[in-house]
Amino acid sequence: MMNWKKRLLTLTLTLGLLATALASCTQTAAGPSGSPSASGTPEASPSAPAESATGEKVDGGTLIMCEPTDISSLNILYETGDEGMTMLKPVYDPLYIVSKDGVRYYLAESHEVSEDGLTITVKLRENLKWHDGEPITTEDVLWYFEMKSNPDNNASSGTKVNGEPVQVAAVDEYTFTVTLPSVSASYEATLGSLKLLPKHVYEDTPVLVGAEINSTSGVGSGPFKVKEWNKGESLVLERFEDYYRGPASLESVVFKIIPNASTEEISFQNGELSVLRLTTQDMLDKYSNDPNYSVYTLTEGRINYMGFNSNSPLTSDPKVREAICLALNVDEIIAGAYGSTELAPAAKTVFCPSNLYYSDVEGYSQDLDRARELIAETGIEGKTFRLVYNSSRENMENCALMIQQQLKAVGLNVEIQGYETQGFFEVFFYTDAGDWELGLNGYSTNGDNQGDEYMFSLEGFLSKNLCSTDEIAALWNEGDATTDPEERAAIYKEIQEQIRDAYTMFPLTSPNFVVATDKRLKGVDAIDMVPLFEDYLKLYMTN
Amino acid sequence: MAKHIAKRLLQLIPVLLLVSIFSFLIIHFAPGDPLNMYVRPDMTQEEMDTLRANLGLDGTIVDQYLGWLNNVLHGNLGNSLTNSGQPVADRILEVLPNTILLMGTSLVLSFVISIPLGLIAGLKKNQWPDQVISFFSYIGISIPSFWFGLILIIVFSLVLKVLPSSGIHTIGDDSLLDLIRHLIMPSLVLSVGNVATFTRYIRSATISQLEEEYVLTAKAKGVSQRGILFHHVLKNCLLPVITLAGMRFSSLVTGSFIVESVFGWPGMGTLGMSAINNLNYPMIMGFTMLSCLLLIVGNLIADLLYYVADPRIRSGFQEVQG
Repeated sequence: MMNWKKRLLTLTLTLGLLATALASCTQTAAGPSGSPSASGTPEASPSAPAESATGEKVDGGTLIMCEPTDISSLNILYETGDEGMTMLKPVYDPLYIVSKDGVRYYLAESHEVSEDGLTITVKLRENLKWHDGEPITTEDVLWYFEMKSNPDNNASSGTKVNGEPVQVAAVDEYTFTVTLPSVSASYEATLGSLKLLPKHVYEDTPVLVGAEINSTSGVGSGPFKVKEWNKGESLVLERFEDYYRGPASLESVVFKIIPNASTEEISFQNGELSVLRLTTQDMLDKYSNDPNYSVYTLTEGRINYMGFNSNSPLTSDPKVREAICLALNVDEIIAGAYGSTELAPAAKTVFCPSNLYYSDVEGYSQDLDRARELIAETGIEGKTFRLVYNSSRENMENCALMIQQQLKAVGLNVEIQGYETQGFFEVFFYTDAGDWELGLNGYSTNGDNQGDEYMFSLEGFLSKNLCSTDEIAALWNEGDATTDPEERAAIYKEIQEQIRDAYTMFPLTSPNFVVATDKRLKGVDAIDMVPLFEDYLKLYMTN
Repeated sequence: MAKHIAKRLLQLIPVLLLVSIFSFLIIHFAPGDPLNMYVRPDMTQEEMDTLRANLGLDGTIVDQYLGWLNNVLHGNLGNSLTNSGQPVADRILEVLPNTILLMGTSLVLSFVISIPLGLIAGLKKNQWPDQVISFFSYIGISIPSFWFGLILIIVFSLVLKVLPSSGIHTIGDDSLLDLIRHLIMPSLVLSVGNVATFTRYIRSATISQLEEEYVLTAKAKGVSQRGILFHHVLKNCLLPVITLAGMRFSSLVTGSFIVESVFGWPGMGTLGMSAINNLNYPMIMGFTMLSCLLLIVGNLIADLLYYVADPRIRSGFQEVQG
């Protein structure tokens, strides 16, 4: 009798475990079943595909995206992280965007830089409205610059050039001028990217840092306005009907906060999200081969690179850096770390291809014989190099392992050490201890704003550890002080070549931002720019 | 009794002080600088210094700690170092109800399930019901919560499409039913581990109580097995349950980092994780002090409940006081 019971028990438990295992396998097998908003999926997009889908544009629909962390306020001024840049993008429009494809105008209808490069005149459109119906005028612009100049507001970016403040003056209700203390060619792009705030909403708050109004207002100028912010859970935006370029096709945009990547993917498969970022080759293959989804490849506008520590006795020697650069094969690193170049094409220079001044200069080519010669000449064979990387960044660890393997082949030992973001930045940028030699990092280098790439200049605040030369530093300054685009292009080409020849950094990849989307969502790649999406007017749903 | 409570409450002061010192030290020795969140490549040293002073990060670690302590003594937990600079207390109060709801539900669920299971397992010691319950208890203890959470999401959300995968409510639907639907999976995951642990404790207490002489007396008097179990043994088995409840009390406010993350539950766990990632030390300190306070208060409540539940402890008190 006991045996019978035991057998029954064993059988029941085995079946239970099998059922669980089968359920877990379903994760990879289950697609959206052609009907992402099937019953029981309460947050699915309202315009689920009908069985007789025709692919015609329909007005309305909800775009649902997700972020791993929530914004901490609705004020774009203080939301400069990835989540803020993405979630508040539909709420606040910039003046204009300078890109490789030309200038795209938003709040401004035109702008002009004076011949001497010291004055920029901007004309706002005359039909602009804040989300509460008030007009947007140069009064808002003047207050905005005044507010940013207050050090207590901790928001001075865009108000200074070479450490000196710019002067802003109104010409009339819709035209204003910005006068620079000295020429800074990249300021044109910086000015265009500023996102104004409504004076009438914030002017009674003397200090904005920590003010409650940052979390309650959210009055912006973009195609969508804040409808509901459920902190830590979701941000719901609705179409702004009085938008100056006409109302968007989508009716609403929702950002859900999902910290866990696995939950995010399941939510996407379940139709609860419209967009999923693909970060591995497996994900790319899976969604590319599924007819229920569309896959788009956008330029991320970043450079991932390996920096050399100028404070380490080993890597302060240019010949050591040259030996390392020649010992590495970037294509093999990408194949091993990313799986293919679709997710991460190889980078050649300090700029990515979407930078205004990117030049197709020749990059490094693996030359093992020369690398071994240099290793023998510098006597570093058998030495150990410490490689630090940001473990929170996708694929960085894989790149570190590939580099470790390739340098081992030429007799160099590499110890790899990952840090969480905050710890990594502290080690990589701010502590000049010289106790690491190689470091993997990345930066944004889109358009023209002399941004993070400036770290290879000896002068920027982030240049404490990174290698550069006096010539390169002088060229950076010359490039920004030159107004003629052709002359600037020549200077930046020289910078790219000098950085390559001085072996001050090893460019790894210029990663792509690859997303899978709900098949019905169109216009995703209308503007090849991240964070998603520069212009929500380009997006629409089909049936 | 009042004297005992007062004494325990007084003991809170040095404990909280020590915890605050150690927490402050640990945060400051962690690699990284909260200021890094604000750094731009074009910033000057002067701007950095102003920013550091504005955020209260200038001065020695002792100055910073004393500044924090002074604020706390005046009822101010400080402001978050994230961009909004929102007061820590406000932020905690915003998410606290969500965590209390989730953790409270899972605790109640855990006790409701584990008490009968523990009693049955103890009563049927080494027989098949005990073996089945023990088997599932071991599974419950061993199963990683993130894995179990994902399995539930796949089964109930992706395959069966009966429950939402994450969040606390469906956008535009604030009904109680919707809240319950969102609550089912995370509270179930949290309960599984608790039920497994609690059941083992209750089983063990039941076995030892059944060997007591009062059970033999009750049997001799002809009291039924059910009567013995529910009128006599259960009361005595409540002591370990009270201890467990006291220990778990702080989890009501600290939440679960893992389960909240898997289910996108906007509670204290998610807030704590984000604070740690950003080295947002006022938020981490607020979080740590609150959980420490609740842990101590939880144990104090457990002691008081002992006093209520167990006459021997009551008489012990009276003897000491007498």
